[in-house]
Amino acid sequence: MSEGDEQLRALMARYQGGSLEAFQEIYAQLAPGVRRYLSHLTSGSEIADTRGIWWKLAAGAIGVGLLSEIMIILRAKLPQQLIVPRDYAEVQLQKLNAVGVIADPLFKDYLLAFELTSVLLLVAIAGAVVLGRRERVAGAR
Amino acid sequence: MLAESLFFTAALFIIGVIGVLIHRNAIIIFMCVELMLTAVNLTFVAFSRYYGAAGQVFVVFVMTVSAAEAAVGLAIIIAIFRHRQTVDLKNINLLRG
Repeated sequence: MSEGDEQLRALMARYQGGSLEAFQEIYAQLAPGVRRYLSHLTSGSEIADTRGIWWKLAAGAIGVGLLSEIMIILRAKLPQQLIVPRDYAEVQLQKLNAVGVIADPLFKDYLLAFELTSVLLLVAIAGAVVLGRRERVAGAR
Repeated sequence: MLAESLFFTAALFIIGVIGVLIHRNAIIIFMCVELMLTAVNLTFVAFSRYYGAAGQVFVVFVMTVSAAEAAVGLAIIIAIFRHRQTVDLKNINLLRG
């Protein structure tokens, strides 16, 4: 634990009640670190890149948008046909056992998809080998 | 319980999206894509508790596809590194308009 951490903890213990000046003091403690992180993001260090500040703002805006979308969905009411009895999973579990619950749809309903993924894996392995192969220098063994 | 899991997976997905958008190292972008796939997998598992185990079956497929993608993607990164001695995407802009 660093010294700054200790200081911050002592500060928070001192102002347990939570007044405005306590908040300001804690913010003053934290601000240099936050500012350093922000400048680290925007300057030419290894995390920063050729994309300018606008790209980063756009990324942040997309993040906020996705998060708000999730919040809206969480507050929305589900359509009736999507609502399944509450113990649906347990009933299935009783009927088919733990292995059967997974294996039954995997090898019956989705058998074609299962076989296709095996072909996909084979093609991916072949592609990886072809791409990753070291080209042999002419003449050398 | 479902709401918390969904919030967690959404946060994970958003971390992945932001990582893909702000980083320039190909391998870090790759890791962030995997993070997004993992978030989707966790969403499937969270829903499967309520809607039956078909979601968990889908997780198997998603993991298979992500494994294939990881194999091919890492091979492509190795090929790019051999060709240009860097995986920094700011140097790889041949298709830029």
